[in-house]
Amino acid sequence: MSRQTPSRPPPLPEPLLEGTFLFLSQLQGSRVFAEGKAAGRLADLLVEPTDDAYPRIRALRVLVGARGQLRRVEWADVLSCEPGRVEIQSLASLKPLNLPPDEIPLSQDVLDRQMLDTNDAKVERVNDLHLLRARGELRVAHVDVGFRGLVRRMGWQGPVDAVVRTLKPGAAYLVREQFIPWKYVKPLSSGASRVRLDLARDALADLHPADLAEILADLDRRKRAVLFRELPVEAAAEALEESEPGIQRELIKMVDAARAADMLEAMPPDAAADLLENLSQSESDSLLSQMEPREAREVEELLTYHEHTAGGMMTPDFIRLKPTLLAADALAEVRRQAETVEHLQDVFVLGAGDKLVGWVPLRALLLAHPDEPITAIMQEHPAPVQADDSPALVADLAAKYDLYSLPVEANDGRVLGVITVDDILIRVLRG
Amino acid sequence: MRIAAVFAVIGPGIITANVDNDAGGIATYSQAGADFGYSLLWTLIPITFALILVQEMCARMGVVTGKGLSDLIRERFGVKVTFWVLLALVLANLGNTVAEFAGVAQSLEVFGISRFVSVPIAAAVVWVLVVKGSAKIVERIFLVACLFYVAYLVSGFLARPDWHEVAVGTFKPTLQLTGPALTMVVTLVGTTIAPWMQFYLQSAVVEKRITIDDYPLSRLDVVLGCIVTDVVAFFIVLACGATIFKVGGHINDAKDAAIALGPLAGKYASSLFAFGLFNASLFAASILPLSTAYYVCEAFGWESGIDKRREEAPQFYFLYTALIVVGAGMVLIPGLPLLKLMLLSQTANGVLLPFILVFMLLLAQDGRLMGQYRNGRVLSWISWATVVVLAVLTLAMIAFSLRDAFV
Repeated sequence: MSRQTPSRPPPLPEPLLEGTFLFLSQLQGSRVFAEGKAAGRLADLLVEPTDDAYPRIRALRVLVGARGQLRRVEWADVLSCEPGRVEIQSLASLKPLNLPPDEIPLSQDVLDRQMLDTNDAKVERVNDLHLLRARGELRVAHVDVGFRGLVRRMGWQGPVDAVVRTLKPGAAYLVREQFIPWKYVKPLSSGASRVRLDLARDALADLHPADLAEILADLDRRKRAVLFRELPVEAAAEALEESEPGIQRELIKMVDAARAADMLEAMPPDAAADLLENLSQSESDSLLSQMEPREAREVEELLTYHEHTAGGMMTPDFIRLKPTLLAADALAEVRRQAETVEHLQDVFVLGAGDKLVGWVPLRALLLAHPDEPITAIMQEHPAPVQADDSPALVADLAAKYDLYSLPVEANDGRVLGVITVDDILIRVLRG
Repeated sequence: MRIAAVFAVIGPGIITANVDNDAGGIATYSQAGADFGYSLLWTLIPITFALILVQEMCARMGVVTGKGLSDLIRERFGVKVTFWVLLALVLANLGNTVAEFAGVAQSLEVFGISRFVSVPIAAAVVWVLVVKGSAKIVERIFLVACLFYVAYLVSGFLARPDWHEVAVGTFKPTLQLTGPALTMVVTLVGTTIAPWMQFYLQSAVVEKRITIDDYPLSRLDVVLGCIVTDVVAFFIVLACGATIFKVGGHINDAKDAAIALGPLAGKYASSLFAFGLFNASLFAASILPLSTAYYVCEAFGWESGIDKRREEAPQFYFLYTALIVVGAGMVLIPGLPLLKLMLLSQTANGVLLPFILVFMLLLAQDGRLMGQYRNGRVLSWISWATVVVLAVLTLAMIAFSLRDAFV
């Protein structure tokens, strides 16, 4: 990409007011003059994406000739840029169109499109862009998503403002602009996919996975793909876990198999199994083959259980303790295992052949004397279930005994996994 | 697995087809048969082709872009165009909503229930069903009840029409150049290829997350749906032609229209017809105002959806509620000729259609948007020719209606 170094300092046009705002909609379609002669009409502004809070306009797109060809004018060749009248250096300033991949054409890819407000975690539609003129430069300041922006685009702002002012002088319509600072804006149009970047990505990673899942659901398919592909693997995996099955299916197909496998590994095995269950056999197999063998085996085991049984709800990751431990060692062991286990409310004491010996709520373990043997503080679990029990029975038992987790036992008494209350809740809510 | 995959894709086309035969549709097809006999049957053939053409395009746009039609119009044509298109559409859809509630009023008056009772209750039921999110379940009941249309097929045969005359009406195009005849043709077009159906179909395809790999199946669903719509339309016209038109009758209310089912149901014809009309009206009434509110909000970037709370999506709930309240309220204005109103709303659909089609075609042939799935050259020519024919038809209708009125 060739950044033009102006041979002389950018000219400061006379009528330009310092530090004033204007809107993109006021500039669109302005007549463009070169050396006093009409040269075309302004079609678009190209913004230079930097980590700047208010990035510079780098060039203009101008529509020239009867057949409406698009040309590019570097900002250095722009003498003045006023609503209705744009003056450029000379006809030679009209260069062939080229779009460096990191530039964003505002009219084409931002105006009227959906964008992501990373501050409020909302998907909004852009009604107008708020530009700042300062020191001979034009910068993007805000995105207007308000009703007044719509009215302005209709060309009715004058009369509508006048009417509202007469009827209700302090109306929210007049005083409260719905502007979103550009630094929180993430444009998601296909053309601007590689743009804007890390700044927004940080903001994105801070979002709650459930919010992220809702944003993904609100976007249309292409923008969903753009955003999802850009997320760091962990964030993507969490958002994926929170999404509804239909969207999960769509999202996982959007990324290549290796990355999809990374996401599945980052998810709890039961969530990964639920996701794979919704894919075709061949899709599911190919993803499993890309995963770490150990994690893949866990997930595969879960896949053998029917979705609507206790087996289909359980996770193989839970805290397992040996019956010989003392409370202090047991706590250290919990801390060690906690890295790979999601829920710590309950720990399970397993004997020979992984048979259930007892159950200790973490609270009891914390309160116990360090020298107490674990067998003295454990209780008998009131409601172990079988892999083919129904989700309704599991929910009933959890409610009846006020349980956070229920162990699932095989016919020979081996503990296969544990069902936690969050998975029960989802099953109950989704029917 | 395979069966499940089929059901995941099948649906939007078939549902759209059955919603298409709403109160306005039944009224229009009945009137066409009663007033013009078999002579307009032939129009259903080009109408079917146009319907397939248009709906296939919508489904394809939904699959390729993953966006609704109003969304695409906003992104491509900007705020001004979107505003006027949607304003026209909201007004037309208000007319359609009036027609649905008029259908409710007419059908239950057969059972002696006053419209001042039935319409407010129906409006409240629709509102609550949708807002409480139970509409999806009820939708299936409505869909099953659509088997009612089979009654027209049977009745059409039992009426022993002169099949020779039917064949002539179907395959030999004739058109009287009079205001009423041209108006009826525009109304037939408008009710069959209702603009709001295209928005609805595209959104449904998007919502089902159908991808381009599944598209062949989805296209089959759409084409089958179109054919079902028009086979039903054909037999409604035929049955009315064989009964009401034969005896020189005229349709003034639901009781008259029910005569077409006489050959099948005898003295129960009125009840059967009333049941079918009631089902069709309520089915469409539960979809039309909701989808209208959806795509308006979609285009202007307002929060929408029944899963949002009222404070979160004020514009959505306002529009949705206003359409139902105003739509149902209009029906209660004393002395309003309901049947005329129902037909008028469908004529309005027909007048609006070419305008909406222009935007659809511009979108569907846009390579930047549709890539390799844009309309090819042949399809583009056929489509634009269709728009021209529809526009000429509308102009002719206006011209001849004016001539009839003044000469």
